Amino acid sequence: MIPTYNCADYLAHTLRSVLHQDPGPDAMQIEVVDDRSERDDPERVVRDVGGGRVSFFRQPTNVGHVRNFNTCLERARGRLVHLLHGDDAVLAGFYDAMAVPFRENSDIGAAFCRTIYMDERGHWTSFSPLLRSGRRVLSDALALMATRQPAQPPSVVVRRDVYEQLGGFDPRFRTCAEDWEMYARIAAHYAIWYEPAPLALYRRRPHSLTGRGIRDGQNARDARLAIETYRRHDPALPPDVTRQARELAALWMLMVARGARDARDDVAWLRQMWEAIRTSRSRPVLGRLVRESAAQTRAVARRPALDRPHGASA
Amino acid sequence: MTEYRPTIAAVPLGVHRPLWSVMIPTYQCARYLAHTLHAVLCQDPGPDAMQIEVVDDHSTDDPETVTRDVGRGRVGFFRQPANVGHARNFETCLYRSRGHLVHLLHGDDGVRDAFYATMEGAFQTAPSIGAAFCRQIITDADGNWVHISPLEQEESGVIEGWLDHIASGQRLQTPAMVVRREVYERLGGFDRRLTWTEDWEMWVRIAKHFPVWYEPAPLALYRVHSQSSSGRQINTAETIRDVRRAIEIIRGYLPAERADALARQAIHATAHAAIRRGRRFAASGVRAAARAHAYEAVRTEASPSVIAGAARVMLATLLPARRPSEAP
Repeated sequence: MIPTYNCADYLAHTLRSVLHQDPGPDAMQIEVVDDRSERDDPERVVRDVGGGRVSFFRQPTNVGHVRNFNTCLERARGRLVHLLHGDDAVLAGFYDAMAVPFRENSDIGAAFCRTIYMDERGHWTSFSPLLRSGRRVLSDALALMATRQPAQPPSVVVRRDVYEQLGGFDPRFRTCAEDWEMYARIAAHYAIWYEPAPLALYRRRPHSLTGRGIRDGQNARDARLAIETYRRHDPALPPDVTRQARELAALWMLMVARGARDARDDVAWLRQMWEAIRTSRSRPVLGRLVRESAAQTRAVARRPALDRPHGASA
Repeated sequence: MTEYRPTIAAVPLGVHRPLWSVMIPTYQCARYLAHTLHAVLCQDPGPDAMQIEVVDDHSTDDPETVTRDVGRGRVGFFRQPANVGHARNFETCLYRSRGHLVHLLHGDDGVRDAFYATMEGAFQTAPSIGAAFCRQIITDADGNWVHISPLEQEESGVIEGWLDHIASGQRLQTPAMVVRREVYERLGGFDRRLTWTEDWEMWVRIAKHFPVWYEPAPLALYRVHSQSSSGRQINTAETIRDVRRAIEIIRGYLPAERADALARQAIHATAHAAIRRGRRFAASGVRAAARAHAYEAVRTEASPSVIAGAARVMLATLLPARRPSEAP
């Protein structure tokens, strides 16, 4: 299931990466679910590249990405669901490798592989860290899922009946972390399989940093909501798992702050720094907070007087 | 041709010449060799178009059996009568190659699908190029992908300013590079004075005489493990001395007005690489290797930052080891 919103430029690449390993309509449903894109025309890309093999559904109104993901789950008919964002992709061999664990082990609720990060132009930039050498069931999946975010959406395959049991994505999440919460929810109830080969491609786009939620701190509220939700899912979760999860979330906010510094968005920078310290005061967080403040001070001092972020008109 | 550069003679007339020579040097890496051979055989265009040969530097772990089992007669095997060291083994690979395009693929490295077709396309598009290389994925001993080499250029094509770039520091791994055999025939083989940086010197020599093509797709895999020849030489800091020798040789290839500046950049980068490595050795309790790297860093460039870095490494070797198991 391929959710899209204003990403038709990348969609052809996404579709081709799937169609190259298409086992045929009897074995695989391929559908683009568009959240009423207004800047581009994904339907045309689906027609041109899909050649009738890929179906297309358009939301009657824009519903936001979380509800659009849920529409994907509702419309999915297969036993294994892969949510592949319309700007991400998979490498050859993804579907073969990810189907195997489910055949071999009926306890597995989800499987994920490592992720290749790519830039706007599709050049690879790095790989997600190696958690374990060797393909296997993760024995500590819940703690891993809660304290890091090891899986990016294109790298995850989930059994549809897991979503039937646990429900879809939580629509209270408005900007992010709905996937993080979902993976932890699955890990609390099912075995998770890990494939160390990087077979999924996740696109990082610079403007995603400047999106809604960064300046008003909604991203931080979403992250904290995800952590709260885990605690409710599993009251037995050790307190240091929650602490580590908060630290991870705070470090991520500091990374967003760093992006805001580069983009000279001082409002967003201040907001993210504040949200970071509200989320965690661990030693690594405080250390990075100090370094980030120093870097921002230097960056502001270097700015030419006339080159203000919202520049005075000449 | 100088006394240090072996002459690579043209292939005699009448010998069948395939387009490709995939020459696979091996030394004590038989456990990885099957993987390497599979990666090549998956894209084998047949013996008329590709020579595939393992050239073993007198290993004791029996690569011949692996070659026979995986290669099933398709892959040639040559064994050095005695161990000659990896640079001289490369030289043998060049002598024994018959194809127009030579790919030196260590027996522990690999290629991804479409490596040969993509690189062949480069030589068809730009017949004047002497060599072509792609982006590389660095893997750990188990073959897990760890890093990716820096993106040199956004699009595939002849790489601009390559001589200056490659002369200021080694930045690519051998399995990524494909060279026309004719280039080796004109410029000679790997420099015999070098034991670790012979590939870098060669890439600079080629850059001086020919345009070089860059392919941004990461199609080559380079494995880092403690048994690799680089792993063994690193312990003694011999690698750093070898880089210095290479820098002196390379200086002679550069236009006089830029030679000093580029050599200084390479020296600076080498000294700092030595300190970084020294720091890692110190942290893991391998003290002799840490100190050897501190000395070599200062010998390479006696600048304030290097001396300060070397002093910190020396100091770190005096502190108790961080890991209890490493304590004396």
